[in-house]
Amino acid sequence: MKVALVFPPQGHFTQPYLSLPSLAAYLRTNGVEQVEQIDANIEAYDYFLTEARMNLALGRIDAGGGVAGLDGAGGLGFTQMERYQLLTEIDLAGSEVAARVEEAKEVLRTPELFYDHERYLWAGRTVERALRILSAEYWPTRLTAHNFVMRKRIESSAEIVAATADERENPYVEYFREFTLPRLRALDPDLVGISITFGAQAIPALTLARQIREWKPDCHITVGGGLLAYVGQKLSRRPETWELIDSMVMLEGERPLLEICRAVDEGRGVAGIGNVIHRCATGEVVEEPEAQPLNIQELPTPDFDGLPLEKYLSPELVLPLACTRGCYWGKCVFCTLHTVIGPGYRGRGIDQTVEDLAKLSEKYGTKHFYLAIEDLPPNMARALPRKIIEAGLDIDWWCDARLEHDVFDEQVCEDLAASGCRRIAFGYESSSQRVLDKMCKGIDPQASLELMQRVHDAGISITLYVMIGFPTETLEEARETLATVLRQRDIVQEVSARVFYLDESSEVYKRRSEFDIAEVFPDPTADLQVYYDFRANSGMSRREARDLYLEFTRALQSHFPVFQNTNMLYHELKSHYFLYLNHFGSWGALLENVLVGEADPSGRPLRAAHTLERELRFDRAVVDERLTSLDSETLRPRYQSDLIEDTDRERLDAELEPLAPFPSHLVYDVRSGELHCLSPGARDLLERCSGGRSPEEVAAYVPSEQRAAALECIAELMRTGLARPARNPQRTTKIEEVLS
Amino acid sequence: MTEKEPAAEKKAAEDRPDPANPNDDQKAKAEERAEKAKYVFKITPANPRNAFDFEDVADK
Repeated sequence: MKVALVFPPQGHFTQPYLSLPSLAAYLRTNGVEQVEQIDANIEAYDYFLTEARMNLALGRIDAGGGVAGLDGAGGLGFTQMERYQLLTEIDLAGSEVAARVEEAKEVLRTPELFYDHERYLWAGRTVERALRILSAEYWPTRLTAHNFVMRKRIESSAEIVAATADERENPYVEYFREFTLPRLRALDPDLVGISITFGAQAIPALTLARQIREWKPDCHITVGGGLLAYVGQKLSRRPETWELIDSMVMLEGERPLLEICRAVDEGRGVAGIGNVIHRCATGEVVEEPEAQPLNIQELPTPDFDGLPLEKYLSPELVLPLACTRGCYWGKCVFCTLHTVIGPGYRGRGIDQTVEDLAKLSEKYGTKHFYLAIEDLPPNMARALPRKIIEAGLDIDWWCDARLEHDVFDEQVCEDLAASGCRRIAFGYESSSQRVLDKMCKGIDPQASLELMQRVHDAGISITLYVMIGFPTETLEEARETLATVLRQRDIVQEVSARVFYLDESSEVYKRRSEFDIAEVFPDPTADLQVYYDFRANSGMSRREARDLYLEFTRALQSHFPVFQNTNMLYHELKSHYFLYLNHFGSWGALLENVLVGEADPSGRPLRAAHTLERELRFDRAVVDERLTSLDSETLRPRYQSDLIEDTDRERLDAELEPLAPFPSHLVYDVRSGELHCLSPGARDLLERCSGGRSPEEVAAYVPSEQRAAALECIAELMRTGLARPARNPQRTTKIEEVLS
Repeated sequence: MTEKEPAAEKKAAEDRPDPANPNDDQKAKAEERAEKAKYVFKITPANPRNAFDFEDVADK
């Protein structure tokens, strides 16, 4: 019996995920000997981020021809601006990025290079830019470090199925055909299990299923994972689904997958296996009854053997481990995440968890862990740290937790820090007691602030989840939340904010009249829709929520060092901020040594030697500004998608006044990997930065009334490193009015 | 397709600026833009981030 377990793109590239190692461990300890784990996600990233693949993309894009065509236009419409944004930077920096992308991967994988702040930022920017090149090849598809979105929506089964064969816009059609399928052919499995945790994996997962089906029709293909808790039943009603797969596992996968393995091995059908949906010989789709949840204390330690652990783009391995399933609180009316693994809340023993950590640490030679749990339960918060210390484990770790005011006292915080806990992400959501009560969060905002102070004092980095636009929340309440969070910027390091989405599995949806929701707008073309747009009778409008969210993100960039400029990379690249925290020992040390550099605009500016430059007929800065500002103009019923819908695109193309020409210069700093847009005046100033003259002398040619602006521009050139290396320009936003 | 449409297209093509061969009017406009741009001092990072970059990133 040969089994292949596949984690399809797209997930993060900084660390392995837990789904395959949990399943593999369970199958292996239950007698399924040949279990191959394939992380097609990291393997695809690793391949895409090669010089040869980048050059192939550049050849297919022909950016220069595209820019020339657009530069010849009288004005740029919306779609043209999007193309211009992408093609101008690819034309300028594409070859350089292609030539050095493998060096960038090496920087991310090598400790002494990774912890060199400037090298790290260069590598992160280069990888980011390389993914933009690959995305341009498949435009309007977008592949980033944390998402994969196609024009074809994952909210529609027909569009998903169409996307699986869309060679033009789906990069994984070619990738799987050339790499994953040959590997599977060599293995020749009897069963392939594909894990689908995130929406971004839906299309790649079924793309692979289609290719396996075409190659080996008698290979049993099963899909499982968190996403199916949301869309599995709906997907099972579509006949085309059963052209691609044989069975679907709902909720936790260990036991059903083992039973499917045995059924396939014995040549019988999968009828009667709990938590499985399948189509029987008559064509009828059968949803088997829900199985009893597993006792997770009986599960083996996850087994990462066979995963390409050296390929993740981090210098040290961070391993995920789940010591609980479900959420011990489980009352927040907006949240459904804890339901995807099965009913109820289950915990692994504390001693067992320490053993798991010790075993994994020794076996894989790492000391870094991410507890992939919904929230750290009170008993574990109190007892786990001491057990880790008693066991003499030298590890560091992070996790999510509830703001439990009575649990996180000074002693617990100190113990947590002493046991290696470096970062905790708390669900703060709102500073309004009324809104929190409506959410059934069960927390007091004032006590939460005191708790956060204690956690911070113990030396643990704090991340807050914040939600904007919960039904009935007023604009004033949300503004106060945002202002409160900004006031905590000395003790809070990261904020993950989002606009409230109405999830059809949530209590809010089920009891929507209690939340004053007057109308829900389902999309009739989206049979897999999970998140709905809505109108409420009270509180802020959806548009207001979106606008405030955008204002908040701008404020975060101004006030939180982690979000300033490309420091954002630390936040976006899942494990990297955590690793930096560990490396520097504390938030304070990281802040001082890495995130906040001294800007020194005095002295004699000298133009950076290593830059690439291109003159543009349109002002690229205005293109960027226009495209970004259109965000709230577009309806976003698609969850986790920043792609402009075709209908919005057509409307914007028709309605927007075309952008008139105005010259600008695009400058790529080869050393830092940063791209800048300079106005002609700024470009002239940069040219005059010869190193022999003071800023005043450089700007002497400028008429006196514009001199101050010119001097400020020289200072900015120096801060960006184009004339002299420096970091972190501060910006101001409207949110400061709230603060004042 | 009507007879009128190709003619309209032809006219639009004639009106469309050709950077390689600008006419006098286009040259004058370009000069005007260049003069105006001479004292515009602006430097912006051409690394546009959209709001999605802040959203639930830690969750994935």
